[in-house]
Amino acid sequence: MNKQQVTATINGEHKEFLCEPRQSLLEVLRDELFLTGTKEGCNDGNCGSCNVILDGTLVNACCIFGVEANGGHITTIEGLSNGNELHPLQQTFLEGTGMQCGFCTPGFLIAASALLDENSEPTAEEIRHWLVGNLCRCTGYDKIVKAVQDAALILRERAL
Amino acid sequence: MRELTGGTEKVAVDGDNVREAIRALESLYPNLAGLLIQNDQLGKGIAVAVDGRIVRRGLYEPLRSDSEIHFIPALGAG
Amino acid sequence: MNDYVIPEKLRVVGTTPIRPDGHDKVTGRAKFGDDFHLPSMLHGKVLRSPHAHARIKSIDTSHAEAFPGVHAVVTAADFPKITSNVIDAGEAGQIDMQDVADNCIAREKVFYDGHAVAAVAADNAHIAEEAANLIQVDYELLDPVMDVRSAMADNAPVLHDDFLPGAFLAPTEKALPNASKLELAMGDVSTGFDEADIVIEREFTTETVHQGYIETHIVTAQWGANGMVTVWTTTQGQFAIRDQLALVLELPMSAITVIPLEIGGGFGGKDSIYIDPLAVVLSKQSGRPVKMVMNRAETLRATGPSSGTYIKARLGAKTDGTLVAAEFHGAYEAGAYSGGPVAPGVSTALTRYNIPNVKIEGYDVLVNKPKMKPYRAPGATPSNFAIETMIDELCRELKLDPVEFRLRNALTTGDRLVLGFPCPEIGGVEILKAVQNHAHYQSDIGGPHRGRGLAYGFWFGAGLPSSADLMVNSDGTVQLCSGSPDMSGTRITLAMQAAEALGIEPSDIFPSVGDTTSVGYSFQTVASRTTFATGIAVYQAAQDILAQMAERAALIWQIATDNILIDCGRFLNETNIQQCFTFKELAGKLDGTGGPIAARALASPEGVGFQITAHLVDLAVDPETGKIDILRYTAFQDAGKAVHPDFVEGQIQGGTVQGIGWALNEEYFYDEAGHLKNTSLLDYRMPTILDVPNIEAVILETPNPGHPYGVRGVGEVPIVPPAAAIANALYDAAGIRMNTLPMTPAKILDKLNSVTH
Repeated sequence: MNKQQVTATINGEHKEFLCEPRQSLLEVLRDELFLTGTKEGCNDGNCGSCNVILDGTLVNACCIFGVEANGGHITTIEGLSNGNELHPLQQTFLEGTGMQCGFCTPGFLIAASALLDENSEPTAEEIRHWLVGNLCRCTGYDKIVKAVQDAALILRERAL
Repeated sequence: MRELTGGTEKVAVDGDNVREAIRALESLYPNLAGLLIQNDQLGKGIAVAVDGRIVRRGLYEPLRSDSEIHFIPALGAG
Repeated sequence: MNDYVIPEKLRVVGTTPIRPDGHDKVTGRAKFGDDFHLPSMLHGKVLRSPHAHARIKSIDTSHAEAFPGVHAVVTAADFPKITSNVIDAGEAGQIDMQDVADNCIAREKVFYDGHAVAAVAADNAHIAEEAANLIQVDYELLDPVMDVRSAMADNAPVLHDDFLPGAFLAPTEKALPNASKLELAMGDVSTGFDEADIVIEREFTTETVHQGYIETHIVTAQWGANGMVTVWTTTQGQFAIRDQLALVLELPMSAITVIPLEIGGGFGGKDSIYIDPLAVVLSKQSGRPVKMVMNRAETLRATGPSSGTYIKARLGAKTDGTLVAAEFHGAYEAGAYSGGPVAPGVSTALTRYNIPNVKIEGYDVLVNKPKMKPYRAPGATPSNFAIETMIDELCRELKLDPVEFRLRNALTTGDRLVLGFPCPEIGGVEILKAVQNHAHYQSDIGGPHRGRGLAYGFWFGAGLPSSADLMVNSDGTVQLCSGSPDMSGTRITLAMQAAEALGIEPSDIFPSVGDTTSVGYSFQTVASRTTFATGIAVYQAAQDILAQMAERAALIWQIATDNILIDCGRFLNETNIQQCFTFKELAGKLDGTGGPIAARALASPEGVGFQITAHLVDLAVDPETGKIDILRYTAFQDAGKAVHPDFVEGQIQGGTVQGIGWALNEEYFYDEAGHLKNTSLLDYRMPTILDVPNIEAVILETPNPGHPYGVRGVGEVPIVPPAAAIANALYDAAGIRMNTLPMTPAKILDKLNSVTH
């Protein structure tokens, strides 16, 4: 299968890579670009572990072809923090024990960051609705909701 | 195990450790032979509790004169 | 072994520091199974049986071998035919290695849809998969058997001709096809039932469920030119993987190194080998490292789910609520090979109540499904569903409050267990009283179609061997290395125990997880044992460190070691209190007084603290759709001593939500030919964040004297009572008794409609 050249901006960096048309964006991120923070949990859009932001939209990278990313802007978990400065969500997940095994965490963090970009004061109900596409098997979700609420508060305070 | 001991619930035996106690038990109830010890080890699927604790030393766990021994199914976990 | 004297005040244990491995997890840097790469690595894929039960007549791999990009192809013929080897795992039982080997790659028969038959290593996973599909297997189809009752019926298809069904502590007897029997008893049930004022007998069935860990199974293996094997994998037990590989491949254990990567969930399902030996032999044959990934469909089809069951139980009670007799018959799926959760399943069914006359019969039943694996507390959830709903029925009949009924019958410290020995320290009564006093229990349920339910649950837990190494750095910081993979935050709970014991801060301790060459033997991270048993190893190693450091202080001050007083990280001269070193100061003097200090402990603690819990749930049921909405959930659990309360809460909340999924949605659907139909997370429907409310965790502490800080395991029991609590709440809401799991909307609606007509 002939590889195609793809150009995209990933976490603010210009990247060029080759990929086969059949490869998903998830596969490309992990196996070609070695950005292994984005995870594969199901490979068919049902768990959210592979959440990334593509051109401002929250997507499952397993459901997008690598070639579709051509010319696009992608944010992965590796791009959530600002150098060594953690995003408030990362901080609240750490402090509030919003993770146990940590495998679903990148997906949740990306998804929650997309929520907070749209809605700076989400209720618990709104948080749960937004994150319904992200599965966690360890935490029971309770502390995830609280961590998102706490991060929203930090972001609102910073904006003042 | 009561069927194997003719209905007796508690049996008193002598022995410095669990292995010796089992041998004493087997001499009292010959139909127990080969059940508790197999291939010179505690039988498959069997764990032994001495004085309320499941003991790592198994057959070699030392006993006091008033020790209580219970043979239980090995319990798994996840 | 003497009980520990637990200190009144603890300095670190009970606080909530941030886990040191957390930073890597929130930034995506942590390396899980599939995040590991080696240069010139190949990718392996498995060809799996499409049949639930068949004899393999022949396998032709020639087309796969010729496929461009393929470097190696293996079948069972490439693996040694081992004689039955048994690994002794102490109170966790024994593992038949011949079964394990056969499960990894089928030799003569396939026993379930998805059973591995061959494997291919190629330049990438796509090529490997295409090539694997070119392997031709000639099967002779056999009838499958897919549930316990069919498997035990006369003339049922037999899975293993050489299966000798036995009974616990009785000679083998071929009484039933496909099943062995376990019996436990206490007192005399026929007399007991005669004395009862009320007797109820009920039957239950529950379906097969999967642990549903979000990260699947992944292994990377490298066969070195010198015959030394290295394996990188996501696992609950690197030593178990090593030992099983050694036995299955007939290699010395010292020739294999297993390096545990981060693990994305396990819950009991990642405690043994699956694709590991395949990856090793593919690596040997190709001369390259090989990575193998089981995708979600493969993980659901071919890795141990948790037993479906058939249970029949009988309870007898007096009008004042005293339980006088109980009979419990439970058949638990073992899957394709014997050794399912029948023992813990039946042993925990009634253990939490003091019942004088008990008769228990358990069956370990072979069915054409993957070999069953533990899912948190193996076997306990279905048993609890049966007994706790029957208790609820008794309460209603006798018009007794559900907490009062349980208090009347609660097992307390010293009461005889059905296993025979007295119950160690347990705080069951305290838990029940906490329920009574809680605002949730006292609140008004409000609204139509709403109900409240209670269930009480028990689980054993285990000790088993654990290793910990402590090394003191000259700047006073400490390295801690244990053999326990960190599934959920045990690095920090172990570091906290080390900090407590040494008298220093958790931030001065760097905890890591060792591989099989860098730390002493450790049993898997299972059985709620890590914070308990590995904690004890850490504590013992810490005592050794303190003793060695005291000797150095004595040397410096030219006094006897007996005169050194150790007080919370400070070393004092008893005869001259002015002379004092902090831990840091003394660490800086080690090089000049004999050299660096390190200590290792390998502990197999026996003083296990049992787990006890009560769950209270309010729900609303929609009479038109049968859908349940959980409105409020409070879980009460005894942690003995919560080392890190946030993590204890997390275990309770996580296990509870798994139990809710088990109760309401999750089941394996097989067609008549034994094919698994729901092989995706869309159709194997686990709880989402929208399906559950906040779970309030109430932590009680009746210390376990078997641990220096009173720790009990906490990880497993939360999954035990949710199904029963929800069933009881549903009865309260709608007057219907469910006797099957899961209680899906369709089943609830059927029951509602059958009641009204």
